[in-house]
Amino acid sequence: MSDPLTAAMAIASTGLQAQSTRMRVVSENVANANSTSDVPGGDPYRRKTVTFDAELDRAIGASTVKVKAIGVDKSDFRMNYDPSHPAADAAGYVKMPNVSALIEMADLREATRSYEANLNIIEQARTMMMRTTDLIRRN
Amino acid sequence: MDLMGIPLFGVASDRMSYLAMRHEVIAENVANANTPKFVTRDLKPFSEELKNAAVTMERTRLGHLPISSTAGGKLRVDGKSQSWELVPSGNGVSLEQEMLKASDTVTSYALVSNIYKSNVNLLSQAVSGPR
Repeated sequence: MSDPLTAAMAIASTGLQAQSTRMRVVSENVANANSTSDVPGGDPYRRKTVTFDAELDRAIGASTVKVKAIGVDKSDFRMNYDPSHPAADAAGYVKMPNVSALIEMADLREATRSYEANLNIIEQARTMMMRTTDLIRRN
Repeated sequence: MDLMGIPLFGVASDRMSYLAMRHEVIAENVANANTPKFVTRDLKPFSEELKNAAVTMERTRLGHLPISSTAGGKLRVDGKSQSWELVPSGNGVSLEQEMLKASDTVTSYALVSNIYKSNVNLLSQAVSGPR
């Protein structure tokens, strides 16, 4: 059995990793919020999604978190009327990415919050470790 | 000399390992704060663990070894702990609740380690006499 505090740090670091992957995907979505196709009637950028899964780490005997899959959002594209656009179809409509800035910002905020919580756990585990090592210090 | 034979040291170190374990469980909860269908877990309260440990075997001979105060690392995880919220994805981790528990763990740990330390000081004073 490994030391629980070291295990806590390892678990929290998988949390950090998962949340930063999520932030990366959010930034991809935001960056491509207006990426249309360059052929008439073609599909634009499709919003990406992240799903998490709990995974049992046998070495530490606890469930860590990992990114299960980076999928795509299958919702419909927004249609914009812009006949002069290179990607406009015969009727003059352009398919815009199904990215909503509001959803991305909410997602980003949640990811940041979870990231901070994991960081907090690491910080606290470190404090507890220092407390233990301080026991051997002569005062 | 067996330091753990002194009840206060025994209980203090048990409490410390309990708190470290609890921190690990909290870390699991926090890491999985956005995992669908993940339900929050917690350890059984320490008082309950102590109650279980209070049942010790009788020592009828001097050679019998005393049993340490708690079950020795086999702390039970309470799967059905009360969660504050359940989101539509089936996740039952409330970050606020976990942060509260974590800070509680840290302060309790600080308290116990201070008690441990002052008890060591007490012992060393008893051994070396007042300076």
